[in-house]
Amino acid sequence: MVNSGLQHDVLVVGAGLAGMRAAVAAKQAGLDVAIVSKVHPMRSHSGAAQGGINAAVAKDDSWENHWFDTVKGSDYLADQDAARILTEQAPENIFELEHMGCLFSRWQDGRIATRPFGGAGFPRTCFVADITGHVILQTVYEQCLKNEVKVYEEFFVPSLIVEDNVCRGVIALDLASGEFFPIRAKAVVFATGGSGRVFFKSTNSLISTGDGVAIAYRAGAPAEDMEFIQFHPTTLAANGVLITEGARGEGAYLLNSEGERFMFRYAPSKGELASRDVVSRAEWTEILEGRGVNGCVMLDLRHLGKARIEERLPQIRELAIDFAGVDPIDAPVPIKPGAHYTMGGIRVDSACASPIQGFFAAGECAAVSVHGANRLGGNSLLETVVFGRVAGRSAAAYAKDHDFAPLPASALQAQEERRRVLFASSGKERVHVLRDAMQAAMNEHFHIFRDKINMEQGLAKIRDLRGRFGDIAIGDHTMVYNTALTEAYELDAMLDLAEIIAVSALARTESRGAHARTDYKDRDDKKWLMHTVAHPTPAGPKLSYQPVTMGKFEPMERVY
Amino acid sequence: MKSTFLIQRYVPERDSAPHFERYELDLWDEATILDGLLMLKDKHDDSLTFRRACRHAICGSCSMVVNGYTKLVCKTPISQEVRRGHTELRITPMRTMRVVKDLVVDMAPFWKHFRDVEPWLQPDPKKEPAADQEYRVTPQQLAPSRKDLNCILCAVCFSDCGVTEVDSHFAGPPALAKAHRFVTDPRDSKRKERLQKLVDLGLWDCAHAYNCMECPKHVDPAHAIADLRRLSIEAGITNNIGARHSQAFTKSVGRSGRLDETRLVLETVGVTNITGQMKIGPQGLRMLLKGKMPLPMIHKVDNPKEVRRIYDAVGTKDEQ
Repeated sequence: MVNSGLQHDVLVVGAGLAGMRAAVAAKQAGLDVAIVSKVHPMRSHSGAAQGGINAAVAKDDSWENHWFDTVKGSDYLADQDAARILTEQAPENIFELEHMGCLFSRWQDGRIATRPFGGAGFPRTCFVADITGHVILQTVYEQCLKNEVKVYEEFFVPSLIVEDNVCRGVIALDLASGEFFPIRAKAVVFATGGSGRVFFKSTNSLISTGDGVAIAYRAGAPAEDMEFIQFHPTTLAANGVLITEGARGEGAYLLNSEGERFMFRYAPSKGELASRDVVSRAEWTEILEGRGVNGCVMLDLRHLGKARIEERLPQIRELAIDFAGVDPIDAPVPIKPGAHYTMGGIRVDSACASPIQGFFAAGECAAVSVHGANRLGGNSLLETVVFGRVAGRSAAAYAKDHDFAPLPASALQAQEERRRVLFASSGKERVHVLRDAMQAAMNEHFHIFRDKINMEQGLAKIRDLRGRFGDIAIGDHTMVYNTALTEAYELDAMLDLAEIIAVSALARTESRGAHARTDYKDRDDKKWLMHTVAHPTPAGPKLSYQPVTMGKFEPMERVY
Repeated sequence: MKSTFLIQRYVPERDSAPHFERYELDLWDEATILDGLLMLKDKHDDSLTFRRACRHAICGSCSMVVNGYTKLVCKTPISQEVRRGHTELRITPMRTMRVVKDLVVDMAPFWKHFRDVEPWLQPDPKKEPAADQEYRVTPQQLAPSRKDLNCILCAVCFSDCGVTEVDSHFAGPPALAKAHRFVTDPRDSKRKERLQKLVDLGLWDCAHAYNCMECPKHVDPAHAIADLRRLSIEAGITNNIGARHSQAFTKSVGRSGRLDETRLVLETVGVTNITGQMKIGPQGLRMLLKGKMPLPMIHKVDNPKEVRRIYDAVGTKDEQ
């Protein structure tokens, strides 16, 4: 048994919105709480969310309508009890954020303003111009400072320690010193974000490598619905940078090479504001059928006028100028679908509890599941605060009833050994080579449209890359701030996730939400109204299936 | 496009002192400096160490000094440096903070200043709306802090500020911009307490170099600092050198159209501050003997009414 002296009642891994919200909730429950994060909290990718956060705050709206839109958007794969929590608690969470200090954009009468968003039957997306995630991230970080939540900044977590199905804590690598620390905890919350970097030109930050899901999976926590990857309809061609759905919410058009607003052929009533899977498929179809413009379609904001663009969408204007060389006030912006969001994740119940005792998850790394097969725009920020708070409270309640469990010494030794082997390796494989090959394979074989033969080829490539990873070597063998080492860890995690995505996608012989197969074009509720659950085995992921929690809404044909 | 990167390297376990290494790269025309660094790390030397995350100027990770100025390298195209006349990209870590490794600095002092301004809303609990209500805040009331909200805490201005470099006590531009966001928030109840604290944290120490106006997110901390000073005087926090200096300046010019420098000094120190006056006395005397002291009985400008008119006009504008 080891004891580095570091222990906390509740330990949160990840300092984005979900993690910090969980930490504040657990701290307010009177516990000793700490956050471990591989970057400073303000560097977290939650800050990149642009367009808004959904909540039925307007008096003509209702949370039941939001609930329905979310379930419909999920292509009926969301657990309806969890989606109910998400939407029913949305308004109070918005007001809570507002009371904490978040400066939401307002109507003239001083109330919180809302804008239309995709797949929603009502304009219910609250926002701060087009920097919503950034401002909410600041707000929740401010609460961490106010509540004196301890943060282990720039500590990378390479493993979750579970013994006898009880979570014991984590091993954390202090980047500044290169030292591994075991940190014991009565309860651990993972809020480690998405895994968009598995794909090429993702909208995601370079840090969104899905470490948490992979580490939890290795420790025995199953991964749910990993085949559902959201491709966002509007990303910049050059580097995958996101252009918010709020642009279309404010009224922007999508045009093909013939200048046609093609979305109404695919979604007769909603047009550009259909749900994201529908819009991305439509764009890709236009491009495949030869009506693209250099592999893109055009996002036209010009008719919104300079004043509205400058007031409501200033950041995306600057991004378009900086990274596409186009000022949207003067010209349409070339955009294309890009990998954006991981609907699946660590399988947890609606209290954010995993099957492992004392281990919880929230935010993009978790599958609660409120997004099912397709997430609505504006529901991810919402999920982070609603279920961040839920996870913090659940973890606090658990920690109050349980004591610290011993952390086996072998856990620390295993990490020391893993690094020693990597430093000693004279292998011929390099991290960037395998990473680039993985991202290319995932985009080629697990893109917007999928089929069996193509996916089998993709899985073979991923398995080959996994084999080659055994021969990896890195050039930096120093202790202080070794990012070559952490990039190798991240690649290791992403290769696991890529395989889970591939295996899960191949097995699901239907089309649902973001998982669209050309060889199985229809949704098959009889056979596939089920969550995919991937379990680790030495031979790769083993799949089982679990029923979706149904409720008020019976599956219907999904049209927009 | 061929580019030369000249990068300051320092690995504490290996190097006794920082040194420069030169790399030649062939990049696409639109490449940013971050694109170049990522390629270097991938293909040339994986020990090259720098922070990066979002790669589109929202996370604030990748600040470093490029050819003398601190930049967020993800939004700085290499071509921009070429247009500025640089044949190579000379890259060093941010200033003012200790180097950890290569281009990574220890940002603890930066975050301490940020924490010191108590950057969270402190409302009057009695005025908090019910759990299903928001504070009523009009778009006009949001306007004063709109630019402050853009701040991504990248520390570009902190690194380039001439005062933070020499005075570790000075809160620095980003913390002051953050403070401005709360001071101007109609929901906050601690305006005066905050302003008093900011004076203690160096609100009047800004020396107007305006380096912070080169902000990658257009935050304009210089304006925030000027506004905080104005608000602090408005709140009656005038018993400090900065406020006295500002008021004496305004008074002198308003009175005569000219700056009465002798009086300015006396009033800045404080006319009743005998100890302070005695401290500056000998220097004043030496200046007088050398003929460097302007006479206190200066003439007015020809048309002081015109000056008055400008004062009135500016005063009116301020109130709008």
